[in-house]
Amino acid sequence: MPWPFTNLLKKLNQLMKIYISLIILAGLLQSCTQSTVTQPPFYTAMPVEKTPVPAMVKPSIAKIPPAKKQPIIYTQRGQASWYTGKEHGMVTANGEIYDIYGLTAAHATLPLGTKVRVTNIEKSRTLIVNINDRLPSGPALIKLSYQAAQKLGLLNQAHLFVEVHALP
Amino acid sequence: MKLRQGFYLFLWIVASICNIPAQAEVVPLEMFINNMVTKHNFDKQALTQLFKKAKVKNSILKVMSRPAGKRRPWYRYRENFVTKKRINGGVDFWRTYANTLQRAKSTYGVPPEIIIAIIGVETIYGGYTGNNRIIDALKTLSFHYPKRADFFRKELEAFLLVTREEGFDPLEMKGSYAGAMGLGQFMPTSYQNYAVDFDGDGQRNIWTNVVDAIGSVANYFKQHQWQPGQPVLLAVQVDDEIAGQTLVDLEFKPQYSMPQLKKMGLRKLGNQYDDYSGLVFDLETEQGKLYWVGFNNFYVITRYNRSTRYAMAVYQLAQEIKSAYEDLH
Repeated sequence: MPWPFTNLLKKLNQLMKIYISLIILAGLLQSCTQSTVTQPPFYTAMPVEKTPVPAMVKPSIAKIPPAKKQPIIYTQRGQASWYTGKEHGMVTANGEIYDIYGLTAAHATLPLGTKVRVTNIEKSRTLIVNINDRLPSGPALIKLSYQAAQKLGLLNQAHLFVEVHALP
Repeated sequence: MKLRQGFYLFLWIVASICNIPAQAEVVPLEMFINNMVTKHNFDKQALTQLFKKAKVKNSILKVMSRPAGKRRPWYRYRENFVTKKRINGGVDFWRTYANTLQRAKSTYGVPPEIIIAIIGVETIYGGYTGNNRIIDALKTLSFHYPKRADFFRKELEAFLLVTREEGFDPLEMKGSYAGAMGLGQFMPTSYQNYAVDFDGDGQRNIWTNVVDAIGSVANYFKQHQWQPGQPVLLAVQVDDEIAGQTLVDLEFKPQYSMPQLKKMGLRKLGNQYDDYSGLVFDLETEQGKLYWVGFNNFYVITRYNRSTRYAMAVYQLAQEIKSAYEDLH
């Protein structure tokens, strides 16, 4: 029995999604502009490690560890794609060799070696893959190894909408 | 003297003209028993009695002579072995026998996931070790299956020797229709040569003693030159179809150095693997025919079962089990 408000609810749902994405985006922008913050922003689940500071030494900006040791904060939604068979055996951007049975991916900006959790939004399936290749600009947010795409259940799916979340 | 040589020559000519296969005749059971008596001091009467109790199984002969059928592509073959059931079973097996597997690793240099994957592919961790009496299977195949009777008679000989040595009743022991036994499906000659008493209870029991089964698989790999820490395989590209064909047509043995393989048509991939030897093999994937170089350790897996598909399935199951196990710990 169709319910008269189904369409309205769907609209609302979409609006909510856009709203939430905007909030996340805003948060991301904020974190980008504050590159010298000493603590991860409030919305990360990461517990802040408290290292005991000797009483005599005053903590100063100079003592902050280098920026690359900070966790990468990155969550994006977009289109997924995957490698073709012809790319099997080719050298990736970080010098590894692409194997269709590896759990790897190409991304435009994330540092090589970053582990990301990819979620197939339609099926709520997740998988952790290693970014080891560069993705030239194009419609795709991430290009997955064939095995990764298969494991996520993307191969026979019409809409390849995924979320990519960088792991610390 | 000359006459005798001439006679042999004559025999040889006749044999080659008539194309008589050298050992097509099935050696009768009696000859085999006599041989066991004179060669290994078996009791003739006891052995005759034993073989009276053993049955010739027509069902086994039927399975063995069944036409091979259409060969499945690799990716279909893979679906049978790299499964959720076998991955989860492997993780459970690892957790249950973590100490033994660690000891096997330090004794034989073989990583736990490889040992587990072998036992997983062979018998789903001991769940399916086979219900044929080995004595029935080997009697059937040694005396009623001319095509491979020689091979199976050697297995039968080993089976009788090793059950006597270990104190098992040969009528009791069960396994596959081809005579493979226990968690790792060892053939009798492998049992004889590579099985170990890994828990020190004085008996090599590969059927119900999981500790012995783990040690035995690990020892099998060590004796076949598994090299700890070395790569197993590498995805590669070959220059063209012809080069690819030449490479995989050779018998699979990691006999060429990487620089040699590059000269033969393998695309250059930098030099980080140049210290290893290997051979190119292909597999039919969902994305078409693709190529890998198998190194020494890949070859060692094929010593368990002479098939590149088998070795790839074992390797991939091992990788899956390892990452699932590491996620838990």
